[in-house]
Amino acid sequence: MIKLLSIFFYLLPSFIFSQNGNLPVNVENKLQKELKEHFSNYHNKSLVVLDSKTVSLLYDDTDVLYTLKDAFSTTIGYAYIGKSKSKVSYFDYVVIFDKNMIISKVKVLVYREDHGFEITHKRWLSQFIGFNSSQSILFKKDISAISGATISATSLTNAVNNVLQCMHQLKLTKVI
Amino acid sequence: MKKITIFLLATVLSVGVFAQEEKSKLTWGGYGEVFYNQVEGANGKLDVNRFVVLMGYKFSDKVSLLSEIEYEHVNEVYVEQFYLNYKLTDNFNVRGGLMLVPMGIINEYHESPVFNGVDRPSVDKNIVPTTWREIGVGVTGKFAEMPLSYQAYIFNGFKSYDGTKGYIGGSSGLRGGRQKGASSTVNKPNLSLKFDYYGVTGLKLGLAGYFGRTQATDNVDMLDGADVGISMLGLDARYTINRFNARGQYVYTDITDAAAYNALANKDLGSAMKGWYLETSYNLLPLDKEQELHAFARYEQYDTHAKVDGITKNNAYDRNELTFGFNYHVAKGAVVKVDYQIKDDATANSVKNQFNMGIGIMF
Repeated sequence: MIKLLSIFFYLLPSFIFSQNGNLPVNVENKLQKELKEHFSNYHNKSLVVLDSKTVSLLYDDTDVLYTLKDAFSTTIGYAYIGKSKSKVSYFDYVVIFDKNMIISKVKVLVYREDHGFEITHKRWLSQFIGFNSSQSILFKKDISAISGATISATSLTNAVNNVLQCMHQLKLTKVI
Repeated sequence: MKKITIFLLATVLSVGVFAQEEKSKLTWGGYGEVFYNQVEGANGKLDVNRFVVLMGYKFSDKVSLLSEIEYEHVNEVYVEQFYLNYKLTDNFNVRGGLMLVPMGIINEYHESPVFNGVDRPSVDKNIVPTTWREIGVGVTGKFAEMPLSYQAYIFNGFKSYDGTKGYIGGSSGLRGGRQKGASSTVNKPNLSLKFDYYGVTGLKLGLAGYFGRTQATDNVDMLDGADVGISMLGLDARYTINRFNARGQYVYTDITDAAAYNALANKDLGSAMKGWYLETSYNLLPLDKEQELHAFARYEQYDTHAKVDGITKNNAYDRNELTFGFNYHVAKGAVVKVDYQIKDDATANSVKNQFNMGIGIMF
């Protein structure tokens, strides 16, 4: 019995940190708020399972993709939640797609350091709107650089590019 | 046996997870630069100007440490930053320790790959004494839903006089008075403020203020002229669009009681200093390339004797510089620099020009 208990305690952390679509509470709360604000008809979300079979591209284990539904279970869009590096920390972001796989919003959900926080500004983030999953984004041309926030701005642009490629792949393989 | 295997496997898995968690709490980074300076008609200088190791540690989601250990000229060691940050909300932090004074552009953003030219701008050396850091406490953050951020600190000030020596003076202004958090003496607090506006895409505007008095050591702080009053105001702008970048700044420093200080310490401190520069650069390589080759030109004018009181104005302190050259970013964070500086001052004498080469890194 003691052995069983100890196995349980040893395994516990691995379960907590494994990919099961459960976001940290603060990230989840901010995501819910964002989705309700963005889609007036948002009802619930369902997890799309990402694994190396469905997505051959590089993505992080903690990345999460949801299909967004209205009250009649019709797909109204997608939300891709990921992490990316800032200067000495990381931040959580969400890329919201409409049902045609066009980016309708990018938002930084949690930003953890002082350097580079300018990327959380709405107007700068609005530059991502309108790109679709078959496009790629060029930093400094499509998305303007931010003085003093180069690392975070580059990091998020690369991350969104990865998300676009990932979505493209999922579309090709008919996962979504 | 099976149970033992499961037990071992579970242990390995859990340790792996914990190790990962530990790893993400600790951040390493660094920056540095190696210079070759060639003043016209003189011997050149080769120098590992600085190498800095950055270490950040996250004690919790709210509490973090940022520290930098700096080697200057190979054998001078400093702690350049060492502060604890307490994040109270998304928009509000409290911090304390050894921190950078926010004034102008370079003092806060001084890593080699983020500015053009081998040497930092002279305005950011003689008017803003980069790297200017002192021990203090303050708050930072941004106004919710507004593209405006703020920093406000109470810092220790410059040291002006200790009974035998005056630390601030005519040529390089306040630079010699920086205490850098090294057994620093304090008797008068200084206020430092900065606001940054980033509401226009590609543009960043800064307004900074610094107000207070210098510090004198205990044995002499009652003497007239042992300390001076300082009010510094700085404006800065940075703009970037596609391959084009521009930046500029203006800094004005008003100094009170300079005459009494000069008489006491036998110095030639001005009663006002000012400086400005304007710089443009253009990336000659296409934006889809990882490498960037920036051609740049910067014009600076600065005067540490913009006003004098009781002493003769030294026109050699009224200086200007035109710096032009290339910054070749061979990879993100690694840059090779080459430039030429045409220098002049308000006297009839000619000032020697300078050629510079260097490498800089940041990671």
